[in-house]
Amino acid sequence: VKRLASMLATGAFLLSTAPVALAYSPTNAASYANQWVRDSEEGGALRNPDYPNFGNDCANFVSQALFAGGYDMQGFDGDTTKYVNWYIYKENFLNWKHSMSWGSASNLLNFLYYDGPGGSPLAHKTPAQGTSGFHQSGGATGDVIFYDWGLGEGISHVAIQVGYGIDNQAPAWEGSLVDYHTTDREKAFWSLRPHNANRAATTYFTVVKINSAN
Amino acid sequence: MAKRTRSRTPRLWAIRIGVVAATFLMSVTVVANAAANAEEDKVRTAVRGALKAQQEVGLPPADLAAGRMSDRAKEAIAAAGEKRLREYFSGDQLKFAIQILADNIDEQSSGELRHQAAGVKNLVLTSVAIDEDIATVTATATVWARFTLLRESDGELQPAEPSNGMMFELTLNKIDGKWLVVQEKMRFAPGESP
Repeated sequence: VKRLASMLATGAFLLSTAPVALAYSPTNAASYANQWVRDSEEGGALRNPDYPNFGNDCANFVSQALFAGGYDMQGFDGDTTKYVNWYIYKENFLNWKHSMSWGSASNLLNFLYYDGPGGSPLAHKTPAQGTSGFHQSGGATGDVIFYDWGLGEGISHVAIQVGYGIDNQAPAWEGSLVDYHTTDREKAFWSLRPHNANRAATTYFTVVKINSAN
Repeated sequence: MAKRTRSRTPRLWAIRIGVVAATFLMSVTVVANAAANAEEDKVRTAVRGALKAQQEVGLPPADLAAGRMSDRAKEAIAAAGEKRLREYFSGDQLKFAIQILADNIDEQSSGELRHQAAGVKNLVLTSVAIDEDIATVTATATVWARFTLLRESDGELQPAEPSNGMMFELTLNKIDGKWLVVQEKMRFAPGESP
């Protein structure tokens, strides 16, 4: 209701055709991700024309999926730099206005931590931790995974979990699967390990459970 | 006639001295350039070796293609890897490289994941600048790796052979006559992240 009111007040509702839901549905979020992650026939990029396309599009894509799943935008039209705000809308026919948390992985993670009920960390791990470092524990469809490639940039990537099965592009790898943009991948093994050759750094994962009360 | 000869002699000497001086300066320049080129070659060799080493260390011997890794095997791989890294890295960057090596070995410890091969290809040093004992280098390369993961459900080994284009910025110091990497920044090239 708060979102609809704020969107109507700014006229943004009329400019956005993004789906509106009232509670977070992991299934709906995953369905949206699967629909817009990439062109499965052509194998190329696919973007929802109702949203802007960022060069590094991972956080924008996951934000869209969370919103499609029913996660309410927060602090609509507020200070774009504050973690508590998470929104996007089309200001006019040329420009989009969005919070940093909508389009940046590290800021999206901060938003999910600050927001209530928001998201809560299920796991924070490196591949070297114990014997089960390569297996997802507790994460489920609709949850999000943040990645730090260990290159000194901090968290710089995010993906949304969409189910369990076999990696689309590494057929032998079976496990929890994620969708993401930037390098667009559909149903990729959650750790992205079969797609990462860099041995000069360690990848850190943060798995965030999205509360269904959002 | 004699007057003419006297007037020519100083000019001839001046020309001779000039030629000798020019030849000397040219020789000095050639020697200096050769020295600079030789130094640059050393830096290039050091960078190539460093990038290759950090991607290749931690690989187990062929007879350890699967299964739990013994402490003895881990120690042997760590010792060999550290020795190789010390040839190319120094200071905090060496510590970081050794830590990554330890992580690479740890993740193979249970036998769940096993590295089989790794390397660097298409390496291009895009710039090399040397200022006395400090060199800065930028480079691009494709890193690749081949490894397997043990699938829980059926115990099958799941192979993967990813490759990613990367961009590097390195600082090297000349320490005891040898160029060593003291700082390394890297990032995935556009469109090359996992």
